Amino acid sequence: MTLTNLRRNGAKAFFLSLLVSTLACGGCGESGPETGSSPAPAAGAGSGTSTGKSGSLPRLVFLTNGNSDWWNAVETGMNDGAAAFGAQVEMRRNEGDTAGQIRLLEDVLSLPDVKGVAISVMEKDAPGIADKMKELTKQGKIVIAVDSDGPPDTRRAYIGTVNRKAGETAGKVAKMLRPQGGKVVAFVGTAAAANALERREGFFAGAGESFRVDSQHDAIEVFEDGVDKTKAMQNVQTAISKHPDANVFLGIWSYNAHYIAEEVSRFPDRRKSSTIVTFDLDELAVQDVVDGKIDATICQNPYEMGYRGVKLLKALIEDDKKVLGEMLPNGTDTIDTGVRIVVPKKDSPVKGDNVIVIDEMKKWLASKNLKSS
Amino acid sequence: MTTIVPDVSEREPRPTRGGPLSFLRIFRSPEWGLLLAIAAALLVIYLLDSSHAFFYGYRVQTLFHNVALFGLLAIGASIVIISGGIDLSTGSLVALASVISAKLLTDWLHGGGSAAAPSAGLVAVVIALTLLMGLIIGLFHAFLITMVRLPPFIATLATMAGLRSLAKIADGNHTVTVRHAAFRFLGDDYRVSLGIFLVAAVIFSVMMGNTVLGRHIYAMGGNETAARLSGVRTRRLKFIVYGVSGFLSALGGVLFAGKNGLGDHSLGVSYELIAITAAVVGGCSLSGGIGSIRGTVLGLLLTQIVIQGTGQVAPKGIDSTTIEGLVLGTVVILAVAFNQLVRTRRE
Repeated sequence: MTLTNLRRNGAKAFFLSLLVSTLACGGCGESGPETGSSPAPAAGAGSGTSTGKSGSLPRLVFLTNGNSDWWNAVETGMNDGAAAFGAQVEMRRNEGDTAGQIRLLEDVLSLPDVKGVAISVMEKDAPGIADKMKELTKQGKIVIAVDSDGPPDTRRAYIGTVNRKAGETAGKVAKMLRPQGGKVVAFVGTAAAANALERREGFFAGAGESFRVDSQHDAIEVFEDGVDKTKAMQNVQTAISKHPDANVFLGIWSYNAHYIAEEVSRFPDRRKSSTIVTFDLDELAVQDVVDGKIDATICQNPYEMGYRGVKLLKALIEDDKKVLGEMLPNGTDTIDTGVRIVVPKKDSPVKGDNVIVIDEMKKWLASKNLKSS
Repeated sequence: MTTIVPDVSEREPRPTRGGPLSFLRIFRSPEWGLLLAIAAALLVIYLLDSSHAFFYGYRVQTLFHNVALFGLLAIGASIVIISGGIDLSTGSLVALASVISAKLLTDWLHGGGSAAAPSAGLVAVVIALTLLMGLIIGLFHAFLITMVRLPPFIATLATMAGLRSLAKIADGNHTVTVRHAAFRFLGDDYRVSLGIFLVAAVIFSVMMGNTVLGRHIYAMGGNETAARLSGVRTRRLKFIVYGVSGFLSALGGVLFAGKNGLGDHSLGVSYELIAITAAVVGGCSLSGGIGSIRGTVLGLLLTQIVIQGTGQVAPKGIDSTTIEGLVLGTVVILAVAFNQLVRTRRE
């Protein structure tokens, strides 16, 4: 084949088709900060919500640690916050691995128009993530942590549940449901994630000694799924057959709840003798609570994390001392969005100020246009 | 008996002699299309991102950093593919190497996670042991393929699962944090990683293009039976090929552990696909006997530009990770179709 032929028939076709396909995939929106003067989409129309002229509003990015239904509620709050406080926002979802989150951080580091970053830290002890968060700060971007905190020197503030306290609440709930104690199997995406460690530690502190295996070990086994939903389900199946003496099933990450409920309820006798306590309320888990397949779930407020996250980032970027004084009084760096304990029925043995029956919770979700929390 | 060793001049073109325009023969190289594709991708990014941040400072660093880290894996993958085999264990070996190096450095050889910085000697020993482990695992693959007669796909599929499990056992299902700068700088400083990668790329490019060993690997990949009947010691070649792949995967694992600051059993999921994709985009034929290290490096550069470029030009409000697979898949199809077209025209 001659050079002329090669260029005319092969390379040219390849070049043109590559150009066209890449343009088709990537060219469906704004091209850069300077060109973003068109009105932004309406609130709730998906991520990227802003008000007024988007070019003049700060661009904020939320980076997740994993990808589940739960983040949809954060995204809704984030979009509502952007509409309320004036910002361009977007969420970039990690798939549950440290290297993936580092890559997302690198992406943001190369976006000069991003002014603020809210990150759910994948692993608190990962120097690779901490280094990138510090680089963001060096670039002049404001960094806060949401949902899962990082080392204090890597972020300006943390918004979310104080996971240790949420864990303690879960432990106390387990104790109310099962005063005699029990043997716990736990399920989580990444056992080493800060929120997972803190929730687990808090759970056993709240539940007491009668839930521990012995002084050295808390749960019988902690099953890790790497945010693989199929694996999450298989883990429950394994736990049911491997540990016939397990009678407390603890779902540490949101999506674990449904798989525990689904698999344990296949064995009615086992279900009767077991207690299921989970965290959060994925869309699938809502019906599980209604059906009584979950005894109680400790529900964070992801909507508020998104909403207040935008408000705080905007205030930090603009150094709005009034708002900062309200959100972070007395020099604190943590905003606790609190938890609610969702139970199937009013006659649940779980009592307390923050206990809410699933029917009421469903009404609240509908009022915020949410399907999960 | 005539030695049937294919002419590899098309795969690794040698310097040309002849008329004043003979340098134009370089445009016959299959890598020419890749250069065009890279130029096209860069042009698209330039046009779509008015900040042009992709072409400056931090983005260039991360681009070459990722090319360096994944490049080591891609070189190993391409040598195996050229030899007519496949290595699916790369990602799992990366995870195992990251865990083993981290455990050696923080626990097994350094006294229970001592905060004191390890000596340079200890770091060297840790790396040497990890690389040795990678080499042994590669040789084990060759043993399974040549002695037990398992197909390469099955042998490395089995170890893909097994090695990740070993990594979990080694780290007790928890990540191992590595803070020691003496270890981390290898993978964390993009200049060092790039240097290591370039040295490896040059060594293996010369090996494949300019040595008898390389020609025998091409011959085995093109037609193993013919190569064996011609006197090529194919068993020995497979031990070399899979040993190199294992060694480079372990080296990749050490560098990834340095970059992330973690030994992590969940690291490297699907990294073998990134490596194989780079090799295939770079002109390697999955049926063996065709390809080059140079093409693989360009293929990796193209795929990384596409992946990172998608993150750069993704419209505001769109999560770039949702569309990068689509863009990358399109580029892979186009690139491989182009390679196929050129190959068919030549024949």
